[in-house]
Amino acid sequence: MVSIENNYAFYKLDGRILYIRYHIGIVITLNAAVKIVADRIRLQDGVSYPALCDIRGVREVHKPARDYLALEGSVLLKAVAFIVENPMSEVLSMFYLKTTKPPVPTQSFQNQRDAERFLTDFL
Amino acid sequence: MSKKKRLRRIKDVLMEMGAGKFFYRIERSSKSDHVEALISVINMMGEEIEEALVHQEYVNVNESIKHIVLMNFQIDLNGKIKALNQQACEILFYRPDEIVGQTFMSFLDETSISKWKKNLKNLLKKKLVDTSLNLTFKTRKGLLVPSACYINKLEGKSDDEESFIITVVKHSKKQVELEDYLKTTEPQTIKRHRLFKNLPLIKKEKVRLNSEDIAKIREARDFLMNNLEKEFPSLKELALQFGTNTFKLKYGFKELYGISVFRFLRNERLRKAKILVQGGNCSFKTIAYQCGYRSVPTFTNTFKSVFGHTPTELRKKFSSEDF
Repeated sequence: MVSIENNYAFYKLDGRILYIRYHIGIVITLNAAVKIVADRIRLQDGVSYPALCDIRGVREVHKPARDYLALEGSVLLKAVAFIVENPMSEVLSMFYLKTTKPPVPTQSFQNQRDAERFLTDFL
Repeated sequence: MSKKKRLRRIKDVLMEMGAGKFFYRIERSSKSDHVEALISVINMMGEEIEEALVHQEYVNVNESIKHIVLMNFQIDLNGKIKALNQQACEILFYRPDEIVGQTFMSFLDETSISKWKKNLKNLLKKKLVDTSLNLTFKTRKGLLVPSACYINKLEGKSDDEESFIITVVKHSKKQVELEDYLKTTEPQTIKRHRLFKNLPLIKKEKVRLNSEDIAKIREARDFLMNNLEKEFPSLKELALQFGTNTFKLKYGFKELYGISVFRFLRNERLRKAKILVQGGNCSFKTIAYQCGYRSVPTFTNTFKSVFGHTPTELRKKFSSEDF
């Protein structure tokens, strides 16, 4: 198992699924988005994985960051499961899905077990 | 901020949007409730619509040019507002006499105040300055107006004559004035207007696209985006795959996205390659294959011609920078 952490998120790779947990109360600016993707790609080392993104801590995603993530956010990912809970994280994931049409299968879930179940189809 | 106050701001911002002004935003709080979620969606919607007003997917059609709203402030060297234009008062919901004489920063939000203070110090040290800064204005009602501010320092004979001019350009959906302007202006003049200078000129004869054609071209674009590693079939095969013809795909694509199919594909492949080069230890051979290049030298040469660095150089550069 490998794990890294930057100012925005904690990443854990268990060999099958990539887990990304965003820090509580973060605002994703363009610089943050670039760092978030770059660190993920570095951790993955050229291998594609399904990813479980816990976005419950995200407070805001700036427009330039949304545009960046729409284009670059799915590189080297087989599928994405968002963990949402409060209305805030729920609308962020809904807005992302509606406006960006991600190139890989992407869904939102209220708990980790359902999210992992969804991702097992893409191992 | 109380729920009632936040709901009042939602109402205010929606009223403004209804009047075609999509540049107002609602101040965010640390809450994560339904009201906050609604505020977040309204802000994001405003950003999307505001951008769509300027760029409506068609890269350059006359309809996409909208009414321009301008805020102009003249500021003295102490940071006080000496004069401003009528539209600035309307946007901020203040009378001119309530603004003139006040400090510029009293109309900014908290983050922008510290940003402005810091920049003002630097601006005062220099003689003639032309620069830009992202600042967020706060209206009387508490709505936010994030803006790119263009700042020019004007030189004078004495300190009293020196001042700053701050210009903010916004777009709204009210088209009347600009349409009048377009009617009375010669086409040649319109082409040279600074707003359109960097946009490609439209030729008179262009392919006619209906909504079905546009949907097919969009699908073809999405297909290319999601299959960057695959060999490009051919324009003809791609057109057939999406039920259109080569002519419509070729010229329609250019009209919608302002770029040829091949150039688009190359750009997207290289964009993906750049991300993979910067962010990992993956071999360049693997990256070349993942981005649709069957030969590493071709990949390296194209990469260098676009980014000015070979993949090796860029990887080194990126890993040495503390981004």
